[in-house]
Amino acid sequence: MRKPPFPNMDELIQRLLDDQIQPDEMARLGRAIREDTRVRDYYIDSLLVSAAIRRSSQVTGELSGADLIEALSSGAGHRRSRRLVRCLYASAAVLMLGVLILVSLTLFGTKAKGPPIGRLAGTYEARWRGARLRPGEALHVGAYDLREGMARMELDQGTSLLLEAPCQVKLTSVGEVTLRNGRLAVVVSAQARGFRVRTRTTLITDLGTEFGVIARPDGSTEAHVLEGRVNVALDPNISSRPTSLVVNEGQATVVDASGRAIRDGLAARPGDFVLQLPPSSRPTGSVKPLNLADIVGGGNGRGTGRLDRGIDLATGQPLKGPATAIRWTRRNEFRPTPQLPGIDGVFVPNGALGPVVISSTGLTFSECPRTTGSYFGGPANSGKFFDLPSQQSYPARLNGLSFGTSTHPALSLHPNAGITFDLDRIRRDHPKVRIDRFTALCGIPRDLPQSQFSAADVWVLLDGMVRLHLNYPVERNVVAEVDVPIPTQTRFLTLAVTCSGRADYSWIFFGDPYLE
Amino acid sequence: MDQDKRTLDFLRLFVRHQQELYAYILTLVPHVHDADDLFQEGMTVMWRKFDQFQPGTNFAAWGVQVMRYQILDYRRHLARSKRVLMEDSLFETLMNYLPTIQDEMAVRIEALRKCQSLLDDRAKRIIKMRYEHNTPVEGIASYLKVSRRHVYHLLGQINGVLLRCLRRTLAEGSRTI
Repeated sequence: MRKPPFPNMDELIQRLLDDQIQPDEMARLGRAIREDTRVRDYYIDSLLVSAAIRRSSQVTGELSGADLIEALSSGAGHRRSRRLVRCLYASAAVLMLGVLILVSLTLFGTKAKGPPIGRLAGTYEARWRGARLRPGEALHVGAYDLREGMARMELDQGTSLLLEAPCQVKLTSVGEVTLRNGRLAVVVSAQARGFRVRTRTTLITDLGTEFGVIARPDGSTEAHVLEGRVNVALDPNISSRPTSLVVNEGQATVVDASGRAIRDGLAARPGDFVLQLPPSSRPTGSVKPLNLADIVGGGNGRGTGRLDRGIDLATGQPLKGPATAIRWTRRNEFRPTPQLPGIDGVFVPNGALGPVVISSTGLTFSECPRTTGSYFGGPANSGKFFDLPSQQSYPARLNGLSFGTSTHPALSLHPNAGITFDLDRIRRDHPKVRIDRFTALCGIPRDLPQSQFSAADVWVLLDGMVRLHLNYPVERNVVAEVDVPIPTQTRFLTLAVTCSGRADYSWIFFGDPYLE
Repeated sequence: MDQDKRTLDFLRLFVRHQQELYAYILTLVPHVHDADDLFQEGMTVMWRKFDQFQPGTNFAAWGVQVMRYQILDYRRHLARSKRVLMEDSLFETLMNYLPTIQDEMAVRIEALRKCQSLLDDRAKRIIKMRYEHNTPVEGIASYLKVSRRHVYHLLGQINGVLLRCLRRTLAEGSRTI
């Protein structure tokens, strides 16, 4: 076997390892592995290559580390020169330190081992580092690292902690938690009054309340009081003078990264914290729903589309890569998209320029508000946005979940933009699928490089009639569940996003955008 | 002291066989982050159950048994999610087949170590970025000034080169024997 059994198998395996494989590709690969022993052997050897490289270069040390350990434990070095022995022992010590750190992290760091102090009350698509915790399980003193999703912890004195990924906490006792990184909402019972949240720079003490804390990787901390009051104090080990203040309901305070400056009198942002877990994901039925983001990426709704591909609002042509410039248009023009089956066309909505045409048949969006006519790229099968000032891409997280993957697709729609899907064409392409509703999560990711400049509006229209209107005000972060019933005879589904002012950072995503 | 010896024994065996164990996991759970988690969890369970391991018997085979239960548990947990999971029939095919080649794994890994050293500098750099620094494919693409798809193509090519070298090395080894 000199070449892969089918042409792009090597590449397919690499994408499989990154969770970037599409369901139909996985099915094709699986069938080939089952049916052809050459493919099976090639697959196993390829995974062996990846495994061997991955585990030979990480903190567990090179394979030769085993020889060093043996040298250390058996005293083999006595027969060698003193210099070699010194070298061996030094290397072994470094290796042992690395291995022991790994062991201590693995055995004692990623899964808490202390006495039980509460239970995991509920989760939403939660993935933990180094552990698989299930609702109802006991929680122990120790560290927990939530990588994806959300979780609600209930401590024994009645304190509820709501974690949104990514979030690293250490449960110290029933009365204290350390937030190492991430976002945490705390609801304290009367019995647990005085509950404390520590971060690297700050100690927040409950005075009978609900509050939210954000600990950022640079060490800065935000405390937002949703109900009642809290006391916020600088860590005396960092700050030269003791500083604390009481923060009242509706207010927020920020401690800077150095832990020496505290800024108060800010307005709390309750929308930044989740106090209730979203309902669990719906189980997938026998007929899989159609993924609208995939159709935008040039696919058939079943995962054949390309990630990070979109549609140019100026031409209706497929667009590669992220947008890197803000553009304006002074005309309301509907751009058909003949290259993309299932999509009727795209448009830049601006109610100030007369009727906004949203379909090839001339339907209009009569409620469309006045906008600046600016846009940034176009609708895309992507969970990322490109930030012009930092020249970096930012991933989308809604409800603690990463979107823009094969598991959780995302349709990004930066204002001002609109897209109309031709449901008749989709029905023709998928005769077995009955389209009853459009469902998605819709929101703006919380952790943006900057707050959005102005409020954004999301519109869902069926045959030109507004069926859903969502408003996203500045600094009030809301993730909405979209569920729009679609009557059988409906031909056009239109999604539009508008901003009356500057649209910077109004990064609207439809997560899991499905026709069901 | 007994505890120290026990720890040292475990570490020596684990470090020696870690690649075989990780390969077993990755073949059945071909998603690096999940495989990393399972590897760490499996290591914890192996450490806890190390008293049950009979010295002198096959540590890798014992470890594979422990990992097997971890993997089955993981699949049960993820069955209701929307993740693209390996189908049951494929999973069972591989799970039944892997123990039959378990004994060859150590030889193959040794051969791969030699092959890895023969890669050119660019390939080594890409491998280092991807596996050692965990650089996302986007980051490698940006560094190399190529598309993301091209990075997957390059990684696939490197995989192909290593596989061809592996086959050649194993064939040469069997001729000398």
